[in-house]
Amino acid sequence: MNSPLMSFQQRVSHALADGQLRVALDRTTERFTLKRVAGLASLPDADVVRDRARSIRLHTLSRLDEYLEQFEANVTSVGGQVHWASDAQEANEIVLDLARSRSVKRVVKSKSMVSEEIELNQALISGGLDVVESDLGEYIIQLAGETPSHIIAPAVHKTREQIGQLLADKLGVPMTDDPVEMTATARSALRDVFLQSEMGVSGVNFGVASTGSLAIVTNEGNASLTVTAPRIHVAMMGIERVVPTLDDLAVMLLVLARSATGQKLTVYTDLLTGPRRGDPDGPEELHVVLLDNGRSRLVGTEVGEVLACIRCGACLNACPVYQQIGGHAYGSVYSGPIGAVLTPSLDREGPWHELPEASSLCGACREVCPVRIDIPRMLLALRAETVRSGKANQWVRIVFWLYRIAATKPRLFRCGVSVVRQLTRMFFVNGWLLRLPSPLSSWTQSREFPVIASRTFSEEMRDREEGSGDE
Amino acid sequence: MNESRGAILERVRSGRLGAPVESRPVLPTPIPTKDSSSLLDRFVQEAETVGAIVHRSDRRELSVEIVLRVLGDAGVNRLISWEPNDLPIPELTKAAVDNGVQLVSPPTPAKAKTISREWAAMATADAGLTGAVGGLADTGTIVLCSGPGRPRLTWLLPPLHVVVLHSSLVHPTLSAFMEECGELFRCSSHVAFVTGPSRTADIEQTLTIGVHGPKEVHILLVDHDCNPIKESEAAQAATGSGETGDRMSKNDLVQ
Amino acid sequence: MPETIFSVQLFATCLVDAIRPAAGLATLRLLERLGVKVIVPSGQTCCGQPAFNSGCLADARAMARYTIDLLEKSPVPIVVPSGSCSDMIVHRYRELLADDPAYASKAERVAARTYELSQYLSDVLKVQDVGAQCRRTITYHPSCHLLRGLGVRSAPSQLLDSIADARCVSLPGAEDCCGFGGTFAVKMGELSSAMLNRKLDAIVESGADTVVACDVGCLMHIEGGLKRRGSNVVVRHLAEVLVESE
Repeated sequence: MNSPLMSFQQRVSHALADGQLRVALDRTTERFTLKRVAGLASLPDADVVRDRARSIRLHTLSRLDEYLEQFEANVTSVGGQVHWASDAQEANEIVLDLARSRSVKRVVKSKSMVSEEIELNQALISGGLDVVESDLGEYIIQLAGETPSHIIAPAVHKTREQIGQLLADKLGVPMTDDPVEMTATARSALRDVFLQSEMGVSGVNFGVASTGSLAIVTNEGNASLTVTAPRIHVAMMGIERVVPTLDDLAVMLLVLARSATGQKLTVYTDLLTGPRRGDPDGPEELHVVLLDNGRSRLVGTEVGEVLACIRCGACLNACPVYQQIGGHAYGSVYSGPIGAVLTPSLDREGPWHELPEASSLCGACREVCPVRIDIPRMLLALRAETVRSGKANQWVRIVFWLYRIAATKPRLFRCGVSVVRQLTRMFFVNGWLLRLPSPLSSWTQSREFPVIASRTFSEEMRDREEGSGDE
Repeated sequence: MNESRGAILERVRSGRLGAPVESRPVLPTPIPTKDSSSLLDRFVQEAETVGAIVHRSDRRELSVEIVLRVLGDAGVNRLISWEPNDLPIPELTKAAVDNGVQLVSPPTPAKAKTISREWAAMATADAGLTGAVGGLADTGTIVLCSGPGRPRLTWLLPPLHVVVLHSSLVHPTLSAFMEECGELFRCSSHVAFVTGPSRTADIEQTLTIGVHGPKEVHILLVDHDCNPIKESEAAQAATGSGETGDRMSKNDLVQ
Repeated sequence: MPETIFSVQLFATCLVDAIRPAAGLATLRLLERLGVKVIVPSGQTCCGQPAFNSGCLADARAMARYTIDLLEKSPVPIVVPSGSCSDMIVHRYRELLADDPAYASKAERVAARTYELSQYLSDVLKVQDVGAQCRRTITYHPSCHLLRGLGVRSAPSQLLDSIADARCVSLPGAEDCCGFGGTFAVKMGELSSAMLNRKLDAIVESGADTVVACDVGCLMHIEGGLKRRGSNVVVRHLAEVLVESE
């Protein structure tokens, strides 16, 4: 993952100051949330299904090596080929080698978070290939030269007016703010891309171990076209995305669409089992690239549960932090609460230790997660890791060390409270502090800070005891 | 075959070492709706909710009439059709041609060793005609599977998709379908669950129909005897999809 | 005065102690009025949550052990007038001390008999009406750890609904976090402010003159924001309004 140029705090400030972004986020995250609630309400026993979905994911992870081997064997037996990639570079080289050895010039892509993670597009483009994204949102941000800001709605940060202007600038069509017209423009622009590309690159929502099938879902049908018209299909898949059987897949699909968009099932749910067999269309070759890139190291660790994520995006929409700053401020392809866990976990050396701090630990993410991933618990584990490894801000460690000393010695604690009281009472106005020194100044930039009470609760209690003793 | 494979599997293995295997509860068999008419009503209702148009027919002649009307109303001049024997009602293709519709074929015939990828002609079709191997009542989904006489682009490229589904193939849920029809996935390299017309909400979460796939999906739900699409055919791709005629009764369709 | 059959110890929390003693006093008065015998263990300080949330686990553990020792002196249930501190004791102490042979089972015991105030009123005392009376238009902010951590969804609202002469109005986006999050409010001050502003807008929109919550952290955060805006809306801890009568 590339490191962002600005610091996290700067990116947050930048996002908060972006009025257009706030408009776009306000318009969309709420719609997402309403649809998700309605979607889950359409399951008669949503909680039972979510429990089942969780147990399927945890079970799979607890035997991941076996299921991966089974998956590989079955993909191979139906005529596909499995490639294992330890990291981004290896994965990109695999795809580039496939393209070169088969004289591929044009590549059509359907949305894949894994390929965003490894920056496959850049690798292929620098390798001299034409690469076009076919998901409408991805197409928009590719035209804009940007990166996605949401797992399932990559252009969520843009208003329709901005998109209309972009299409007008890049494609020379008349400016419009009508999504229907813009969609028609994209349809006709992308038709030839699907039909003339020699290679289609897709993501994988789930790989079924028992059959070697790949499940790929889209609403637009762009993945279906991507894996049908071109001669070669390359499927990019994280090693954690395997499920044991078709029955398990059915359960996962039941919660995926509902949590992502509130639909009962995605419009196109394609199950691909090997390349074409006597069919007049479909790919001649099927290649599955299994990407590790830091995942295997997480198995069995405190943050191992993050591998259960099915990338529905529900936690992003529910997160009050994401709602404020959108996806780009996180600085990596995985944003929102799950990104704040996933990014520092996958890329331990990267500059990501502030991401787990970007949460008030409100728990909205855990509440909406279809597989009940305890994201706050993992954010806490990562914060603790930051402290353990010495990357934490020194003042935080000193303050809590002092606080602990005081808090385990009640008399010292009371003394401390008195001292702070004296200090705060020197500067207060009508019972409030209007300005505090750094680092506490970030509080008083927008809020007053309370002063210590003239009589604390423990002082009141002491008086009461002494009073009752007098009786 | 490469070092990464071994290294990845080894890391996964050592990570889960000593940890218990998480149990995964056996999924209860979905309870099929006893009452087939309510199952079909549910299918129709859900399919319409997601924007598909459902027509019902209990007579073969009526079915042909309906398809011709749908094609006519949409002003279809060029049609991609599955091989007649791959359609539940084989005479549909001929009826459309007799009605003045021009057939557009894949650039290479079925079962060819190598195929041409000149899709331009197919892309000019106004409609695609297919047959479903299943329907899912609780989501309004149709299930399609590719095969030698069943090109996938038929249900993907044209702006209008007409699909024939026999009522006995409607399953209550996706889980029920997976349970009963698991073999399908060994036979067909592309099984598609299609739920309504192509759509996107990538611009401000505003729903827009027909972004890459069809704008309109017409489902003809039929009750009369017809020619089923058999799973086994796909498996026998090399030997051809030779089943013909009307000889199968409704009961034979139930798998 | 009804006969005393219930006995509890009150763990007031550091914020109630130093910032809002009124909430502690009101809790005490409310419980006593309901016939509960209340012990207030002396020497109580902080549950350790701020250190825990900042990743300073060694410090958090020391504070957790100290608090557990304090609360283990008496076997009676523990009542805490704070959702987040209750959640810390109920859920996090176990995790924090799971590998500590001397404290793991003590942590379990303390967790099992710890209740947030509204939880204790509704689940143990089974009261929904405490006989309060006041002329206020009240809106209720469900604090995150109470709502999603402890799963207390309806008890506070029911208690508020029972107040004579008070009108309860709904808070738009009620379950959205106010942006406090302990040290989050300082470490991510700008972000926290943006979240607070949304909450304050919702409070104004609700038309209430009083915001009630069960966490002093959220209350001081919201109150600090209202003061900065020059708003007349007041904030109260649940216990404070439940002991009112004119």
